[in-house]
Amino acid sequence: MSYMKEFTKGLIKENPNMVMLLGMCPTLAVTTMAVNGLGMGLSTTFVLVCSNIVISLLKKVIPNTVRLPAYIVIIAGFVTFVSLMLQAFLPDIYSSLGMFLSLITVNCIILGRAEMFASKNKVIPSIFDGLGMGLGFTLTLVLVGSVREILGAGQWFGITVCPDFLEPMTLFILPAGGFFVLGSIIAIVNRLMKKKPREIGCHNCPNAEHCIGCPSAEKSEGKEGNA
Amino acid sequence: MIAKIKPVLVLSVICTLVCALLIVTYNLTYVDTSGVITDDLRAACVAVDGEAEFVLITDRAAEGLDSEEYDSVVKIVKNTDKGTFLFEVVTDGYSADGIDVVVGMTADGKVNGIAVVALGETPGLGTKINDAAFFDKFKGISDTVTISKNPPKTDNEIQAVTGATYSSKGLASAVNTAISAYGKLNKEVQA
Repeated sequence: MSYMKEFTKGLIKENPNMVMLLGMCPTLAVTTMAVNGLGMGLSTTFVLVCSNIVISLLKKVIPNTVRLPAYIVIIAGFVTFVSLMLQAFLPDIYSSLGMFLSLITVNCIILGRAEMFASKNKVIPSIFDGLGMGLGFTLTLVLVGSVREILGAGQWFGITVCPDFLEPMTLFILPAGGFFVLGSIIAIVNRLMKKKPREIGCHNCPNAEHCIGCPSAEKSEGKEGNA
Repeated sequence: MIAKIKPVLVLSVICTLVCALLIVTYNLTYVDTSGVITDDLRAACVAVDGEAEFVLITDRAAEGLDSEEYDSVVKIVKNTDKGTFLFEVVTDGYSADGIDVVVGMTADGKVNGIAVVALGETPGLGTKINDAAFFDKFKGISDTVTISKNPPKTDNEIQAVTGATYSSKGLASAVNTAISAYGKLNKEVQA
């Protein structure tokens, strides 16, 4: 089924966090605990699926000139809805996510999927795309959150997992630890997927004509012939 | 002409619809917590005073705490079993309004205990003040308390938690506010 493909591509192959490097801000900010990562990830998934549905339905109605403001209004509406709901029913998650909940509005994963996918595809593929991307995002957040919580606080989902005599490394729940863990996870994922680093040629460089050249320029010239 | 108006029209309709739906959601989910003892507040009161009957005091003017000085005192709770008072105080730690604690007072104006209602401080640093051993240092204090980085020299000096100096200071300022609020309250009650 091609729907299945739309769903699974977001999990690892085109994972918004680990492969496309989108939505880094919430990934670093809220992952001090695994449960926060899960809450943030599921909230984002909900917004992503809903906005994908609505935008996909309205793609013929929304004029091209106002498409971005229209998307943002729709996304902001769902985000406010989610935050009101969390405040009412899951106040603990609400207070620990804080302002990052409202900032889902400007999460580039959601606008990115609206612009790249939902506005060009039918409703059902858009739902699967949103689900896959959202769960891929959730997966990363829980992964980063778990590593940080276990190393930094000696707990996992609030359950103490480290023996008492080991002092947890507080560094890992501070921002610096977030960068470290995220970087390591991205490196591991790239290694597992055998993804090669992109070669940077000179053909996109505006100064290429005036460049006196370097080994990489010669290499790129030989290959592209347009430096 | 239509091509010019249509974008504006569509956007306006979308905005109106989204707003209308949000108003409905807001009204469905909004709970007014300003005049009641919330579960969090009650749990904190129980942590300080033990299980008892707690009543919220809403008439600030009658209690003499309506001046700006006591704005950080969010709620005043009376333990009707013992006749003592507890103050919910919100102060700035490292982050604005990061410290939301209940400070319980004994009948003779000493700090009876502290419990956290909500802590918005940096995880791993500021949150270290949420520690029974640190709260116990405030017990029995009845005068303005100060925070120092070195071991305390006087009774009213408390050593800050390492890595959480701002949060420690914020907690001390919450305690000071509660002590002075209690002093004020006492006079009013006596008069």
